[in-house]
Parts: sequence; C-alpha cells; structure tokens
Amino acid sequence: MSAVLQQPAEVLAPTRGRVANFFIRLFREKPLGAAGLVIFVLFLLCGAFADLLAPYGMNQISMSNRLKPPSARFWLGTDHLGRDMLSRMLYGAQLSVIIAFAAATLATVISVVVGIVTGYLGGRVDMTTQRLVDAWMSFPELIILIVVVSVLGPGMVQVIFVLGLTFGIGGSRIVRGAVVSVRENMYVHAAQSMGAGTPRILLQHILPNILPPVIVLFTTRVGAVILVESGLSFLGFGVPPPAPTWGGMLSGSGRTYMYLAPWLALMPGLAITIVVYAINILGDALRDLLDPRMRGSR
Amino acid sequence: MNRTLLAASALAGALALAAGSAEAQKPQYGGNLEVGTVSATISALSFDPADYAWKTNHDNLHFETLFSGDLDKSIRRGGKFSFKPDGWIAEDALRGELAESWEWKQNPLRVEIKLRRGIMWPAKAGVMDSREFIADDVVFTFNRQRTSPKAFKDYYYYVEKVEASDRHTVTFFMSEYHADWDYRFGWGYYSAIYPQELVKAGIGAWKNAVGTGPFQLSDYVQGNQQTYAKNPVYWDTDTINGAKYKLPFVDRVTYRIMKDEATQHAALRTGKLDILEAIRWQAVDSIKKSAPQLQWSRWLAYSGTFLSMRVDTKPFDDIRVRRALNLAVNKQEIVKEYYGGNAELFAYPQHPDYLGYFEKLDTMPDSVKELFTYNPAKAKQLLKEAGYPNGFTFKTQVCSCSPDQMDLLPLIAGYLEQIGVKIEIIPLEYGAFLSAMTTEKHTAGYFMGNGHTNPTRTIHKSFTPGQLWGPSLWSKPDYTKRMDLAYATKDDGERQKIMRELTREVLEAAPYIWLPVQYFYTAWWPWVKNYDGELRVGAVKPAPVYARIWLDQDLKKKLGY
Repeated sequence: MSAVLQQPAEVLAPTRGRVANFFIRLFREKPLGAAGLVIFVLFLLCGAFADLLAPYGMNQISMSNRLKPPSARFWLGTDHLGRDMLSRMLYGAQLSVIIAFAAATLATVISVVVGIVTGYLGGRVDMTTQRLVDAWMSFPELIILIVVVSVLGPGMVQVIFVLGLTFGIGGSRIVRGAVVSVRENMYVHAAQSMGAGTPRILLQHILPNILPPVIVLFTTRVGAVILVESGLSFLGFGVPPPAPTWGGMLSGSGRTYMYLAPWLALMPGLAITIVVYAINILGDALRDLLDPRMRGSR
Repeated sequence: MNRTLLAASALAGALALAAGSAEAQKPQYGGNLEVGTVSATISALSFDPADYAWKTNHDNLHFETLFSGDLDKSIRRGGKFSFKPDGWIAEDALRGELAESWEWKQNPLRVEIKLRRGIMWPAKAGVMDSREFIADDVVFTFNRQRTSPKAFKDYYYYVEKVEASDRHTVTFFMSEYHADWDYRFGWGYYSAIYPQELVKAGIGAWKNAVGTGPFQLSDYVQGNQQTYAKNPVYWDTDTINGAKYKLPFVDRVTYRIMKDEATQHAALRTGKLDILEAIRWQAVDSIKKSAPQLQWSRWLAYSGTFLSMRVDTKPFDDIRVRRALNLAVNKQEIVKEYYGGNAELFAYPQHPDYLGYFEKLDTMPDSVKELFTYNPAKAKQLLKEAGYPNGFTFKTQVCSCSPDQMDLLPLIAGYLEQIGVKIEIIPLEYGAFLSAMTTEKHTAGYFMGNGHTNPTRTIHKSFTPGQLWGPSLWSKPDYTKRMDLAYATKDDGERQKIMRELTREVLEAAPYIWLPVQYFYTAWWPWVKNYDGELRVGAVKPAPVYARIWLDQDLKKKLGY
C-alpha cells in the first residue's frame, strides 16, 4: 500500500530544486544543447520584444536607402524598398515565434489527446485511429500543406491551423507509444483496481509520466514548424506580404537581388539555419536528459 | 575572370556583326522553339474563343483571324512598326490573314470580305477531315461568338447580320459604323475563326484542337508547358532575300510555363529557352553579364499597373479619398528608385504610341497633374475633410502570378501607411484573382495590371458598364454616351478629340491609384533568326511571329548549347 502511495509522488512534476538540477545537468553534461537553449531563448526574446528592439518599423520604406549594405545605420543592410533588414528580421522572429508556438502547441495538444486516448483504450479504437493516422502520414506533408493553404488562402491563422493539424496527427504516434509502455505499470493497474475512472487515470497517472517525450516532441515541433513555415513562405503560401517572414524574405527579394545585394538572402537564410539547428540540438539534449534509459550516458 | 569576360565580349561583338548579315543566310527548317512568353507564369485559360478569355490568341496558335499585322512592315524589315502592342494595330500596319481583301459598301452599310482561297483545315482524328476554309466558317464562328453566354454586353450591337455571299465571300451588314469594327471581329482578342466540326467534337478539349494556323496544339500540361507542332498544310509564306519560303520553319513551338522569375532567368541563361519575352529591369544586368551573347530589345509595357478602388464601397465612393491616396504615393520616387529609371511616370490609360490619343502630362489640366505629385500633407487634409482623420484599413487582392505586383504593392502599402491608411494584402492565384473581379466579388482594393489594348477600348473596357475589366465599377451615363459617340465617329481627328476628353475626365476622377508604367526587356539567343523582339500581330497574337522564326542549329551547337 505504501509503495503504491509513494509512486505517484515520484512522478509528480519536479520541484524547484529539480528544475535547477536539471539545468545544471544540461550545462554540464550537454554543452551543445545548452548552447541551443541559449540561442533559442535569444530567439524568443527577440521575437517577444521586437517592438522594443527594432530600430525601424516593419514596413517602413525609404526608397532613397534601398539595397544598402550593412552599415552603422543599418546593421543588416536594407532591402529593395529601403526597409531595414534588422527590423524586419526581428519582426520576422516575432511572427515565427507566434506561428511556431501556436502551431506546436496545437500539434502537441492534438498528439496528446489522440495518442493518450488510443494508446490507453487500445483495441478497436486504437486500431481504427492508427489506420487513419497511417493514411494521413502516407500523404506527402508539403503537398497537403500547399493544397490546404491554397483552399483556405494565405494568412497566419490558416498556417497555424494547417501546421498544427499536420504535425499533431503525425505526432500522436509517438505519444501513443509512450502511453502503451506506461499503461502496463503497476500504479496504473492499482488505480484501475481502486476504481479510478478513465479520465482520472489519463490525467493523473498517464499524462505526468509521458511528459518527458511530450516536452521533447514540443520542442522539436517548434523547430519543424519554423522550417516548414519558412518553406511555405518561400513557395508563396505563407503569411502574405508585407509580413516579414524569414522564408518569404529569402524567396522574394533574397533571390531577385541575390547578385546585387546578397545580404537579403544571407540574413534570413542564416537565421533559419541557426534557429532550427539550435532547437534540434536542444531537443536532442532534452531527450537524453529526460529519458530514464539514457540517464548516465553522455 | 577578366579574360573570360573579354573573350565573351569579343564573341558577342562578332555575333553582333554576324547578326547584321543574318538576313543573307538561308533559312533552315527544323528545330524546336522554346519560349518563355509575356505570359510565362499563366497557363492557358481556355481553348474555346467563346469563353471570351483574353489569352485566346496567345494560347491558340492553331487559330487564325480575318486580319493581322503585316510583319513585312516591321522595323526589322525597314518599316515603322514594332509589333509589340498588346492589342493595337495601326490601320496601315494591317494585312489580310484569312481575308484577301475587304471593301466597305453602302445601302445597306456593309463590309464585304473576300477570303483567301485554298486555305485548308488539317485533318484531325475524331474531329474532322481536311477540307477548305470557306465563308460559312466565318458566319458560323461569328454567330456562335455573338450568342455566347460569356459575350460582352452589346459587343456586336452594330452588326445586323453576317452572310456568306458565296463560298469565299462573307459580308457583315452593319446598322451603323463602328470605329473598332476590324478589331472586334477582325484581329482582336475574340476574333479566332474555327470550324463547326470542332465545336461538335468539343472545342474546349485541348486534344481536339485544330485550326488553319501555322502550329497545331499537340501537348498540354497545365502549369508546365504547351507544345504546338508544325501544321503540314499551312498556307502562308515569307519572302527572305527575294526567295519565298513556306511557313513555319520550326517543327515545334513550346511555351514553358514558369511561375518563378529566377527559374525563367536560369532557363534563359542555360539555353533551355530560346526567347524570354518579358524580363524585368532588375535582372537585366546580371543576365547580360552571365550570357553576353543574348540579343536584347527594350519596350514600354502595354499594360498599366494600378490599385483600383471600388467606388461602390466606402470610403472610395468619395473622390477626396481616392485623390488623397494618389497624392500619398510618391510616383516619381517609384520611377527613379523602384524601377531604376526604367519606367514612365504617365503612360496609362493611353499609351504614348497612341498618337493623337495620348497627351503628355504637362499638357493635362492641373487637377490631373496634381495626381502625379507627392503631397502627403494634402492627402491627410483630404482624408480629414472626407471624415477619415485617422485613416482607415482596406483589403486589397493581388495576383501572386505577377512578381512585379507582389513587390510593388508592399511599397504602395508603405506609402499609404504614412498617412494612416493600412492595406491588408490578399494574394490569390490567377484563376481566383480574375474570378473575383469578373463576378464583382473582389475587395475594395484590387491591384492589377491591365493591357492598354487600343486607344478606344482602353477606356471602354474599364470605365463603361457591363464590361469585364472595370474593377473600380466607375462609370457615368453621360460618359458612356460619349464613348459610344467616339465609336460611331468615322473621322479620326474627331474621335481622337473625344477620347482625349474622356481620358482626362477619368484620370481626374481617380478611380485608381495611377502608377508608372515600366519598361520590359525581351532577350533571345543569336541562333534565333528572322526575329527582332516582335511580340504580337493582333491582340496578344504571336503565331505569325513564331512562324517566321528559324533556328540556326549549327550556330547553337557552336555556342555550346
């Protein structure tokens, strides 16, 4: 009895001490992941405080200053309409943060709901749902995205919805896998035998124990959404102009003026590369640290 | 690097010299002409002329019209016509295509057209056997065009009836004279002649396509390419250095549909395209550096770009608001900076080539000249007077098919933001974009480019009711009456006077934010012969141009392509 009562305490959300310990372990054992975290946080701060940090407006044109290279006045140069690239990159980060977090959150919620329910219930529910997921995953992701955005039209809400749905359904497979392994644990059987209802079991016993992979899933989704959104903008299906999405900047003036003003392509291209790489290595580090099977490994 | 450039320049120079004597070369038959056309980003809209799609002549190289431009009068041949305008052929540049001759007669008022004899419809499996083109074909086509549910309202109101007087004579009986009579059914956008067998078999299906034209549609992949094979029974010839040659020279013409500008340029640079007809100025220098052998032609666009404002929607029902938005945009700066000087401040709705119709800006009334000045302070004042002291927001649809418009609209948005007016930009694919306007479901703002067409139609199609190309929905009964009068006026001088007045009036009313008209460039490889950048010899009609082109395959190999 006491062992059963003790177990839930062990799997409750970590205390403040545990969080600090976690970060110490991250910086000590996974320096690359820590670097990724620093870059990621910088990215978030830039996006969150773009209004304060940007020296110029998002669409502040100045035709007499068009295509100027990086200088003391325009740190990252100007584009073909004389708009400050640094300001547009910061506002672009803001857009990317909003889209990435909103879409990743939506995707994670969908993944968790679908994965938890099907993984726990099993049987026909699981079989039917997973066949539908199989069918969904057999379609090329980018094609689905392009078709849906073509029908719904370009816009931030549409992009968030489409990316959230696409990644959410695919991600449910990972959550389901984690649930399948957790549901066979003793404490779950104990809760069942004590008469706990399914919602209580899912929320109080299953969900807390699958948080590590869910967190990793969330962080990798953020990176993936940024990359896919850049791709959609590059193809002209993202948030419409003059919104400064990094992909749109790369595709538009970046390519048109590649020879005249290479910074127009380099800056958004580098930004996408660095942020996505940072998120990926952070995700790897989190997985290594949070997965019990990986504990003790470097 | 310098040596390479020097060698390339020397080669370019040698080729230029050789080009001067290109006409002395004997034309070669064969080859496949690959073209990135002026509409390289848009697939065919329809293969049925009765759909009244503006691109019909461009996509249906297999059809011909009663008249077309006479390429023997091109600048290249010592004449004075560039054959670049989208829908304008001066009277003295016209020749009979399917028509051999024509004559106006009175009592009753009519035009009697003698058709060329011996022109054959080719055989097409499942559609028709080969037979001669006859007057009944013209009568059939006209009646079908006129009664099409998609025909423009009253487009042929002046034609009482069309009859085949004999096998090779067709007569148009008119109730009154119409100045555009030859354009509307002779060489215009909707003038293609087709056989009734094709209609019975299904004219809309590309696989059924058949016509008297130099090329027959042989393959079509939407969004990718359109291929036209040589018509083996084509009737026309070209005289080069005193010798007559059967046309066409090339075996095939392929339109490459490429939505992406960078891809078009790469295809041209690598020789995958023989001709790229519309290149924006920004890319010219870099293309010239990487492919110095290319031949070039520069031309002022026959299409005006503007932001249309729906006058049936607030706040654009107020002329003060429309004029304010014009004053808020720095058009001189757009010419100088955005277009790098490669644009004309004022060249729409009349084109500078329309002699007698076009008036220079400095001869216009002050109320018109003002619209082309930059005065954000007055713009804000006008908005305040109209009841919008803090500006407003409106939606504007734009076609994602036009790289220039996708670049330019954020610039316009930037200018308007400075007076508190915000634009919500909505890019659409071409089909959805066009449909929004034709069904009048478009947003208050509608950003587009529209062809000049010709000096009368440029006003008629956009500023009289019931027409397709009027996104602003601006029209007035008195204005429409005077437009009709212009069409009924035989005297050129009188008609020009009416059109100048109508042009001034619509400019002043500012249903659009009037924008500069840019210069475009056409580039082609030196192995493309008997060509000097001509674009069309009818309303967006390039078939006779392509039919006269021959490819110097040996030169192409020598250049390494």
